[in-house]
Amino acid sequence: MNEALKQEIDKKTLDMIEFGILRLERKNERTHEVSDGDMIKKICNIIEKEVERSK
Amino acid sequence: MFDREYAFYGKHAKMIEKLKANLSDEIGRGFFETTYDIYQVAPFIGWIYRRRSKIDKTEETTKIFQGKMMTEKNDLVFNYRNMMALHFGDRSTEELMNIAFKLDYNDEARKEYDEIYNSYVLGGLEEMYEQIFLKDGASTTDEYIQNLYEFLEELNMRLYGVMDEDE
Amino acid sequence: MIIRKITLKNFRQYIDTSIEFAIDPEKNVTVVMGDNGTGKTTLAQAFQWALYGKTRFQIREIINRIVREKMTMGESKTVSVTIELFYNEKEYTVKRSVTYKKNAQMKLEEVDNKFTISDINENGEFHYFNDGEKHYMIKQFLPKDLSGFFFFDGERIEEMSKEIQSGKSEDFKEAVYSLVGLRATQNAMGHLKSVGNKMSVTKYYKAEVEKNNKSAIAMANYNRKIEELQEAIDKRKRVAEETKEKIAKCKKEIEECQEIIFSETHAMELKQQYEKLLREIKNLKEKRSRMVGKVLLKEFNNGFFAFCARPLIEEASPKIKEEGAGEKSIPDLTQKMIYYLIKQRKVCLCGTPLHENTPAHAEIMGLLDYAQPKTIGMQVNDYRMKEESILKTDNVYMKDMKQKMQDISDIDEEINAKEQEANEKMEALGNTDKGERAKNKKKVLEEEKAKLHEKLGFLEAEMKSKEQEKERQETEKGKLVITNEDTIKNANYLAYAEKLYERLSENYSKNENKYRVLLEHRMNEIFKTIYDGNIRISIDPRYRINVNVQEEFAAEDEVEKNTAQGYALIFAFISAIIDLAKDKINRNALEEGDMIDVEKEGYPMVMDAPLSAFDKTRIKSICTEIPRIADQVIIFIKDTDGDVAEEYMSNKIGKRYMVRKVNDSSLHSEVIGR
Repeated sequence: MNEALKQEIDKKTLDMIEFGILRLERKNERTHEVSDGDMIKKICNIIEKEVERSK
Repeated sequence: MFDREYAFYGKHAKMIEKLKANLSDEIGRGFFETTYDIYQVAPFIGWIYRRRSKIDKTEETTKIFQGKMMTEKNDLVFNYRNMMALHFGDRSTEELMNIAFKLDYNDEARKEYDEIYNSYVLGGLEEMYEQIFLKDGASTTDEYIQNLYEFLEELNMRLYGVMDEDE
Repeated sequence: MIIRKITLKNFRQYIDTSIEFAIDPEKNVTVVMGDNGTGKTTLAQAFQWALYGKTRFQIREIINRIVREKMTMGESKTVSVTIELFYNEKEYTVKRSVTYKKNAQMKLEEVDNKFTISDINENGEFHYFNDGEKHYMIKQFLPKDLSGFFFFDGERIEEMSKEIQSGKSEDFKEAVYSLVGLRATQNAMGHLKSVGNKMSVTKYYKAEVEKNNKSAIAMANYNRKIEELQEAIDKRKRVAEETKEKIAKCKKEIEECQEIIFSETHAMELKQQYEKLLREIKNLKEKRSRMVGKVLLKEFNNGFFAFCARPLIEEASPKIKEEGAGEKSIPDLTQKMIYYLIKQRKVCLCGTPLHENTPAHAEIMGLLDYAQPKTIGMQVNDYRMKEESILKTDNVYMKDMKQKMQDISDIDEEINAKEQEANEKMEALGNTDKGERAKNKKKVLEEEKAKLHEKLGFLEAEMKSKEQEKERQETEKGKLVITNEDTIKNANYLAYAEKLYERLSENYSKNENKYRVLLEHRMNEIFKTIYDGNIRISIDPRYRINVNVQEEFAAEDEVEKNTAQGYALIFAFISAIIDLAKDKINRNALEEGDMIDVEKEGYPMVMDAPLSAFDKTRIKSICTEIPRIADQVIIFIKDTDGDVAEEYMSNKIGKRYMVRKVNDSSLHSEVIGR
């Protein structure tokens, strides 16, 4: 199942996901305010939003 | 087309007000000056984020008066044509041109396309509102401003493909 | 950045002193000799004060004591440090000054405070940079957080050298990683994929994909969660109201304390100074608000539409193609008009009757094909005109907004600094018992108020997020039927997460390697000039530095080699960090004019080196290594080390100075060229 889906990966969407996640990480690098668990939630959010937008 | 007053209803009217409201007495302004300013850019934001929304059928309204609409009519028609070209980009040139250019005076035939346009307006408004006021649990003016800047950075990346490195 | 000259007026021991530094690339060393107590340290610190406004001395002590004593009542004197420097091939003057006045009580008050950066324009006139530009330029000349590497306390060398050689290189690695942005990538990777028990994004989506649908239980769960959230929201609302009342009460009590403090302060000028600071802070805050409102938000509003529209118009435009012939279209001719002429008026505009089956009638009917909305030639024309007007404007929006954000954050720094100063001044007010008590009470109240504000902030944020969470739960509840579609979605998210991890880890290895190789290369370059290629430095993936010696050395040389090595390592490290820093400046430069020529732009090393604490071999190392690495060396040493410095550096020394006391006074020193 994964193989079939991997072909559908849109580069622009992946770019935007990378942009959003790295920005989030850089911010947290300085302030260390967000826990790992919350970071994972936020990252999932970014992925889901971007993928939905690209449809 | 675009020669009658335009009204935002319900939650959308609330969002408009918040986007225009003074951030503080000392700052003396909000993010946008007029409802029209928001109305003008909203459909493009809606398209960028592929986000459309429906009218929230409740009482509250915020309007753009007929006078202003007629003054800006040419700009709005321009927007309409672009939005139709974008949304119907996959169709044939003839179909696309029909929708985008030949229905200016035919309100009946244009109804469904007006609805599409309007749905992008509302979707774009929602996106802007969320990006500025809700992102990262913001609750202070400084946090809204920070959100605004990050929204711009994100748009810059999306639209112009430019990634700026943080310090 | 190279320093040409420094001028001190009334600054600590220096009443009127200037020093011009050696800037010739062949002879780039300036030696300043003087015994302890003559004011060498002060000179070294003057740089930091001029550039960043910070020193280790109390602000009130910067004015020369003799000058201070001699001031008569009502007289003003100014303390200043001026630095003339070269940067990116242009010459700039940085000046910081403070003016004091002796008041009626024969005490000093600060009456003015200036910081200017200027250059000379094409007309030979002085041009002063504005506040926003100044802060930016200091960051360009020499960023404060890197200044520690360039304004150097010689004693640190020993520690650093030991650390690096013993394999403890955490600081090194940290400095590099953060300069280069690898840390964020590493963290992102860790969040995306993890081993063992740690949660990660991929783990989460894998679990989602495998989840079963248990609707009824899920429904009950949602309802319960929603109820709990509402309760939590209501409770917080109540607490928030209470907190607001407490804050108001605190404010009132603080004002009362303030009045007491003021009425208990007899020294007028102290009160005035403090009030002046408060006014300045208020002004700065107003300025900041203006910058946010009139500058930032206004610019945002004005340029936002074009910024968003431009690329979309570029995308839409090619799809818009004109069809009808341009010539046949008559401006603003509509079908309505034609029908009116034919059916109602029955007469043409020129007066010709329009009966059916006449040529006139046929002609007019023929126009129907080209009247709007059928003909679109004119419309497409209008479209193209509008398109051009938007596309031809410059796209400087993002750059402008970035600059304005930077300006605002610079003002925030200023406000912070002033508020700190105000707090310090507060200590001096109200020096009676009653005043002291009021001060203490005020302090306590302010802490309390800050905590209450923080609490209120949290409450409001929590309420907001719980509201959102509640809305989300409601929506989720509505979508309870988990179908195959959901499983497919999650599988898709999983695919993106894994693909991103792949990409990040590829880039990471590449970048990580790239920088490590860069550093290794640079450090070896420096070593080559010392040891003729007999020593090779390698940096392993964990950033431990290994020194590989290719030759056998005699025992007595061994000691010298080791200490020399240690120093060389440090300087090589600093030099490599400088390269990275320059690279970073260029990556972040707002425009081409701000970029520096990495090859030509140098940095000075200002060293306050207690050479006598080191043995002869170390002095030799320092004297040999530094001029090779830094583009300008300014070294402060003791009298007794003078000969040694001459011995090892004479061909590189461009200028020599000596600091000595004037009339044996410890309060007045001067600098003499030799």
